[in-house]
Amino acid sequence: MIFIRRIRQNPSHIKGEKSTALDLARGRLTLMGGVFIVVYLLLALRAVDLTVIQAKSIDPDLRIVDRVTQSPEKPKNTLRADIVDRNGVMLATTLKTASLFADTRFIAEPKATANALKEIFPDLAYGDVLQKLQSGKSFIWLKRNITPNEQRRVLEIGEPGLAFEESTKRFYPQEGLAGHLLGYTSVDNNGLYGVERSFDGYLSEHADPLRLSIDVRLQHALRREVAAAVKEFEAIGAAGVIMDVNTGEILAGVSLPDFNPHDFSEVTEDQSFSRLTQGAYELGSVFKIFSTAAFFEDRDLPMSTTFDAREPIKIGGFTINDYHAQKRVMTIPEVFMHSSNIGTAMMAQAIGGDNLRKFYSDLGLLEPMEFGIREVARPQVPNPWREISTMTASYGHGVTTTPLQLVAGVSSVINGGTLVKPKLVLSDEPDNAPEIRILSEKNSHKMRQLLRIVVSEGTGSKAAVNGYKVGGKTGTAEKIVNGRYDNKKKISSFVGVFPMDAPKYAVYIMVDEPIGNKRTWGYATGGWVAAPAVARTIAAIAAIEGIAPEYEGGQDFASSLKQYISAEED
Amino acid sequence: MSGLKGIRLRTFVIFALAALAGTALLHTSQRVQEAEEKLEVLEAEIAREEDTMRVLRAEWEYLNRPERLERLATEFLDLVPPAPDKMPEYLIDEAATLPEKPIEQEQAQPASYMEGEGEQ
Repeated sequence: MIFIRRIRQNPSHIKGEKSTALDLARGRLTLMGGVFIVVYLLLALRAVDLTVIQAKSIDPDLRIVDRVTQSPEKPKNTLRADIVDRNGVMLATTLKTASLFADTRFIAEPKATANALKEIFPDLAYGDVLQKLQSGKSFIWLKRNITPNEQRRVLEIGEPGLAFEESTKRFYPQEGLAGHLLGYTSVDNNGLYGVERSFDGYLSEHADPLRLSIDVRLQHALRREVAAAVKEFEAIGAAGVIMDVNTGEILAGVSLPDFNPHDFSEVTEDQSFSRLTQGAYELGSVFKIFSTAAFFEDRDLPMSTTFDAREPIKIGGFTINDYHAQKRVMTIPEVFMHSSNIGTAMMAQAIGGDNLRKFYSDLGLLEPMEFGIREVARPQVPNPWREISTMTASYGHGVTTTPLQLVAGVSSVINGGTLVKPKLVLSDEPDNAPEIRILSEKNSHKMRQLLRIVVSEGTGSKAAVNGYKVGGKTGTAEKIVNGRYDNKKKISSFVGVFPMDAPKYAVYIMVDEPIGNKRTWGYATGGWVAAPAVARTIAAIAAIEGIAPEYEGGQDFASSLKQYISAEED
Repeated sequence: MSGLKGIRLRTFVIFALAALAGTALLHTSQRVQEAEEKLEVLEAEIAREEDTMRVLRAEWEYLNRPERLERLATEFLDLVPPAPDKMPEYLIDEAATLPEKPIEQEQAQPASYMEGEGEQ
């Protein structure tokens, strides 16, 4: 505009009215033409710049832009993410299902349609369907969540008044196999329990499946053996876990009775209660693994150290007795393999309550555990902690903890002495947590030897598996009923570890209120009830994982302990 | 007049070019529209296929759950899980068979526990 005005105002070009107007028009035309040329040139240059010059510098992956992922109104995946096991086997998925409804104003032949529907869905009643179809309503549900095959057959009826609404449904291909850990969702796909609950945010926002540490093959083997033990001993429930002792990964975790996540609305309180993580129990002599390890850490004493277990310990109106009473002076291996409460209580007394409590606490036995799911119990610790507490805690009484914490504690003791925490969800990111040592290599090795002789010589002989070096510890605790220990109601358990010279698996099975039978001579202790189940589970693990059996000539890795075991046994 | 003729020729060429460009534009836009329609159809098809795959995969996993396989194997096959002493070679996973931890040698003499000094 300034330019035009300048042309108009320049007096030297003015030769008359007419020529002035012409000049002005031409000037304007030239100017406009020039502007257009410049703009188009700029556009052309920009086009060349974008397609030729810049094209080479753009990351080749970005050149093809996916229209589907780009458009914001159409997110790529609105379905809740899958949950898979450690090998990628599906544990939970989301399926699109159709739900059948009727717009009864358009139903042409109600009777024929009702008949045809009854044919497809045998659980529908003819009269009921007919009544709905004749109700005259514009929207009435006939059947929720039908399969694609059923949908096809409904379409084949050709009734214009039948229509479908698409919805999504959470499906668990393994059904209740790992129900307590996996959990379930509501009909609106909100996580209500287990991993579904604790990872609700991740699952609803991500498309990639969530990978758990569970292995369905091991999970099935464990569940089968735990269920067999419950059945054989008419128990009210049981729990079991297989853990990788070096990482703390839960390879299998079972609590019985369990439930089918598809029918979560019918699950009873007893079924949904996880004995594995929500039940804090006095777990008995399995705790001797921890108190003996604490003793080794505190006092660097040899295996030949002896304890006088001839007389019960009387303290504060309380008597500590031995279940498998030997009534003699025992070395450490003898105390451990005969599961002497007296000997272990003496060890605890020697190291003192504070040290024992600190050791338990370092192992993570006394605080609620933090891992993949939120359904965890708070362990109970005596308050105040008296001298008697120290002694009973050494053999797993007066202190409660959950079976899962116990197994993690055992893993930490025998894996070489580094702390492991129960882990349920696998992550691609490397674990950068610093290694926490809770026991020296040497003492961890001693503990492995002690666990081995429990199976090869002591109370855990029923856990032996031909060809594999199994170690373990029994535990039998009486439940408290109305404030008193009831010797009819027991928590019988066994923790097995193998291969004992280079541990990889810890298997723990706990049976709640087992009843002894003829085969066990009426005994319902850990060694009779849980140890055989652990042995069968270990044999199954070996077969599934393909671990070669070893038949070594005579020399067991714990045989050096035999010199401390006196032969006069019954 | 030569100027006028020149202008006419130029105008003609410009109009011709404009018409050509217009046709090309129309053609291209039609092709884009067609391609978009095709894309939509394909996308819907892919989504359907993906849904079918989800359903089939879920069904596959359901049919392959260990509990069912075990039941069927017991019913129809003369197979049992390998006993430790009868485990065939091909089942053995070399990687799963762990070597012993080196500490074993150090532990060969239990007498070394007695001192316990300077050991870690």
